[in-house]
Amino acid sequence: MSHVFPELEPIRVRVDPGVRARHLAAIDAEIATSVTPKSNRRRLLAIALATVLLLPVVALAAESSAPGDFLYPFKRAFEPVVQIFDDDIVATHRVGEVETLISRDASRDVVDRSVTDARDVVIDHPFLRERLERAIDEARRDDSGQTEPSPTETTTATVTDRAAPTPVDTTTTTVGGSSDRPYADGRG
Amino acid sequence: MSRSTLALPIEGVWIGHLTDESVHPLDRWTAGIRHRSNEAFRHVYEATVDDLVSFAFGMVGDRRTAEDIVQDAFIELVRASSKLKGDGRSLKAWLFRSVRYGCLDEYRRRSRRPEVLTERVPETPAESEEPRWLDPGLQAALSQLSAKQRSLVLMRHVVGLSGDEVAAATGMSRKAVYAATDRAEAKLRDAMEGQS
Repeated sequence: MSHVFPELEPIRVRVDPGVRARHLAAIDAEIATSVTPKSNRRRLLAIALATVLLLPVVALAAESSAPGDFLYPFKRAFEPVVQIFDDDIVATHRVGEVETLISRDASRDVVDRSVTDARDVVIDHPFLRERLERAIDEARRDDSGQTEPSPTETTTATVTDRAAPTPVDTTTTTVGGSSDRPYADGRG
Repeated sequence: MSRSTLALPIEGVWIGHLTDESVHPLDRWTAGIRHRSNEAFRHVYEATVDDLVSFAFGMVGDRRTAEDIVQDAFIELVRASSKLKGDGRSLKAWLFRSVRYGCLDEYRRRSRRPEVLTERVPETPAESEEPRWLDPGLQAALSQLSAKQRSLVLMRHVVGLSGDEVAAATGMSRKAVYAATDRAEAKLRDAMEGQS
């Protein structure tokens, strides 16, 4: 190879066929093993990206969900994050859910659970507490078919610790009655 | 990319043939390398393995170690292939640079375990008629050079790389390559004459 240093000629070697085969097998093996993790990484990255992009959409769609809805678990899952920016969000959600369930004529058990949840979080929110009581009163009026607010019945968590009402009939009402509709005793 | 070949005298040596940038034989395989094509790797391997092993053999003096270093360089190429940029020249330079780093790592390993060099037993493997070890006299002469000088002499006079290719493989400027190669050649010549 070199005319300047013919002494270096012995360094020039030709790799044996056996060594070539071993090297090529190692290269092929490396190609086979290194392609899969890379494609997996890309797939995972795509899934992660899609998830990140979908999260706001799901959060928005879940905003108006109520207990029993498909998206409701997502709504509860996002609440701790949203609460960082809005302290009232949990209480607002719970009261809104009570209103939604009442408007849907959801079963009494479901509404009662929701009211209980709402009462736990509206303690420090006077306006929301007032809104919750109003919703309960309206529901009760609808059930009894009366126009005046008169608590003719109560549920486990709705009326028991209210400040204003005159508990005339509270002990005689149908707490946990047979109806599967909330406050449905007065309905036709 | 193509550039007309100019014969320019640098430091008294005409190097016109060293500036040729026509189509490189490895150009057609670079895309395949980036896509981890087995065929592309096979062709690039076959086209470069003798040069790379010869270079590594001159650097470390041990044929098997040289072959392992070259294999590691190709494995590394597989892993880095998607990030590889440039043409066939860049690919060849990448391989020589990788092998050179592998040889420098081997030097560091030997400096921690000097018995590897001193306890070797000359042998001729059955699978090859060529010696496994470098001739002791030649090894002694080469050991007078620094690792960098050894790289330059081997790339230029054993592998036959052009000045541009050596510059790309070592990260030096072409002018620096010629200057350093001249000094390395003079030192090697002195070492060889001192032996005789």
